[in-house]
Amino acid sequence: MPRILTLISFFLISVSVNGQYFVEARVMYNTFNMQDMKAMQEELFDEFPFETKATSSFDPYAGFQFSIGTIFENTNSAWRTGLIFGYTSTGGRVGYSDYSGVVRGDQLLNLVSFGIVGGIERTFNDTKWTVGFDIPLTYDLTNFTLKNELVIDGYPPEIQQYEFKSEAISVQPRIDVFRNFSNNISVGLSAGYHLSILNPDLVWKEDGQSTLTLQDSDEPLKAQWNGFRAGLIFRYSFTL
Amino acid sequence: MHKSLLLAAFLLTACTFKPEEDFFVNVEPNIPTVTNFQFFDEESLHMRKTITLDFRGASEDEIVGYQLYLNQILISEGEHPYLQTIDSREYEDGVYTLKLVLVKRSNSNSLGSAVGLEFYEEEILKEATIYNGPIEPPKINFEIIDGVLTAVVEPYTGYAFKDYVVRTSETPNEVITDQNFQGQSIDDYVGGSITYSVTLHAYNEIIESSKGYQNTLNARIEKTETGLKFSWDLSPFKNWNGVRIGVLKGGAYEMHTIDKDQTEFLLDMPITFPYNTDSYIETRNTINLSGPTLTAKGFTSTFFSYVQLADEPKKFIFTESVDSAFTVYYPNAVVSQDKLIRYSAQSQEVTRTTGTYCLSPDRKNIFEFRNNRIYNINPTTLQSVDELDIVAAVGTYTQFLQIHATNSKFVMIYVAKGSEKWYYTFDWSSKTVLFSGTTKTDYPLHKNGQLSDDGTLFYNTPQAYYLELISPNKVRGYSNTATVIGSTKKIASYYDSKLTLISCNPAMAVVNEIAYPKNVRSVFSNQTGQVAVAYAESGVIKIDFFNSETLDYIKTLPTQLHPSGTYFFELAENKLVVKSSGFSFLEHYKTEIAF
Repeated sequence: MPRILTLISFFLISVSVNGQYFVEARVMYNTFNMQDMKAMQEELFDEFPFETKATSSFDPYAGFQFSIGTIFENTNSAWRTGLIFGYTSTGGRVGYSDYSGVVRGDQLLNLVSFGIVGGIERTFNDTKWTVGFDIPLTYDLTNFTLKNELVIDGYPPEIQQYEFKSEAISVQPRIDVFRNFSNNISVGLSAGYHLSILNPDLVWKEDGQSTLTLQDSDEPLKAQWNGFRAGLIFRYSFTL
Repeated sequence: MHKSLLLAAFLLTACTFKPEEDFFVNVEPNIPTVTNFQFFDEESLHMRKTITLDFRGASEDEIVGYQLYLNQILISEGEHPYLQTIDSREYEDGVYTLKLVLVKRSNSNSLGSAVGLEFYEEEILKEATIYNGPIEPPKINFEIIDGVLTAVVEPYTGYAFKDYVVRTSETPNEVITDQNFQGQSIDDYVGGSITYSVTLHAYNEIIESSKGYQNTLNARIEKTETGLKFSWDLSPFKNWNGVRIGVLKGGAYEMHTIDKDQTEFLLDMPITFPYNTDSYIETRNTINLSGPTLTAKGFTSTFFSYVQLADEPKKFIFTESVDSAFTVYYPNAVVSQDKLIRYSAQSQEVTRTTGTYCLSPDRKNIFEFRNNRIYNINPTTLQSVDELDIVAAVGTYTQFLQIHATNSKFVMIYVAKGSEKWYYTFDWSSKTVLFSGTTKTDYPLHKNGQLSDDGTLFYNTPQAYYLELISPNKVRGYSNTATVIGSTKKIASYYDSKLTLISCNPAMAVVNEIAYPKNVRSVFSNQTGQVAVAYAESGVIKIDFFNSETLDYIKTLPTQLHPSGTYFFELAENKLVVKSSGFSFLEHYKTEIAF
């Protein structure tokens, strides 16, 4: 980690000699593939002796990203590069409840990403609008919590919880449109796609090797974060 | 920096996905009810000592457990089936609320029921009475109400009454379930004895009270000119129909049934009943007085004997009945077999006279001295048969001392002539003197001599204390009071506070001897094999009988003879002859049995 910080500091200093710096915050609306997780949720239906229902099934959910970087300007275009940190989560719930208690099965996933981003952008209409394209390359850490819970009134709850993880490499090509309100403040929209280019299996944190499989399959389950990404961008640009 | 991390953590948490709320299904609870469970049938549970509570619900009720409370205090709990023994003595007597909580598994369509964790409780309340005090059995008293014997029962007022079982000695068991049962009348009862029992069943205990009742017939027996008059009083009873009186003759009863309205019964006594010592028990007539016969209960055969003891004025003695518990005693009379035997020993033939049964006089004559003459008195007519002029017979005497001894043939007299005492023995048939002689002192010769049937005189003198067998043999003995036992030729004598048997031979050896410290007046014997000793005690003459060989005591005969009198005793065959000198013998001799 100290090595990474040193590298980042070197990168920023080396590129800031003739450029402009920026800080971005993106509030994202994310969709997820999560095909394996949905399949597992289907299996959970059968384990309950009731007519269970999935109240959540890996629905699109919000996330956020923070970026910091520098912009190298040309006449009508500019290159930008920087560091990126992102977080998003989703999950599923299958359950049943009545007056006597509740039984539920939760599959909760969150994704912590950090990496680098690089792209190009161009300013139009007397610098009021900016359109950009970039590709973040991120190292993704997935935490998957499988939690089964039975709560009967008057009795202590029975909880089964297992923690899994996976580490992946992904890219997220995206197009951004900014409205520049001043030399410093810009607000924009973003659209992109999250694509895992290296997605290992989920493994049990406790032993680091056990995996999850469906009943009729030997294929380990994966956290499939692939999906569209849309976001609202807040950018602050400044010069040192 | 620290705050920044906290803010970041908060943002992460706030932005993390939250699943939707749980899927809720509106299921109606199915509260189960116990379909087949009995917690005692009674409204109130009575607890005494230890009580075992056994709760077993039906299987379909799925009862899983119990909790038992006494006045809201948990005293026991357990799983199904529930078998609990409670010692009620751990709690004070009183009324409690017993609560049984049934824990029952739910059969709803709910999640809790599906996983077996949904239960419902149902309470069953009972009043529980704890009582460990004593259980008092009903008290029984007898009362005669409107002429009917009534058993009055003080009912049981405690807890856990089950029933009474009433029985009498005459009736079978009767189960009464009314706790307030206060008794019942015994309609058929008139007399006799009855036992009335009430068995109380309370809790699991059996307590019995019993009380007996005995009714006696107050009967009276009176002598009449022609027989016996029986009268009685059967009040206060009204349920009787008559009285039976039976006369036992030779082992069979001659029954007389008497109507209820008749209050007395006259029994004619056409019976002349000789009896003797050996057979009087069998031949003696017995009158049976019995109770009503038309009713099933009461006395049926009450017996009494009719004889009179010689020394007691009572004439009839009621004895215990043979086949009935009913007993009637003639007032103040006491039955004593011993006395009866003694009476037999002295009894004579009994003949009936007008209202009076008398002992027959001795067959031997009675000799009486009056007006210088000896009169021979018929004991029945009390008239003189013949007489002897004593002056003419023995000459002039200065004092007539005694008629010394008599029997049917001989008379001995004892007179004083001046300073000498003379005795004379007459052959009464010829009125001639057989023997005569003088005594050297004034010792009362009459106490020591007697005449046998053949005229033999036994006597002794105060100096030598000897006996002379004048005819046909002559023996000598030492005794101040002595007699010769005829068949064994032994002399029974009393000397120095000893009763002695002396062999009647010239050696006069003592063959038996017992201590006998009494005021002996005479010793006599006869052919019966008994020795009799007359002695003064408690103001009367009494006679003890002994075996003439062993001197074993046999019996005592009390008499009404006063010690101041002068008597001669003779043991004749099966009878005792008492003779008196002077002028008072008739009084004693005419002993009367008056029915």
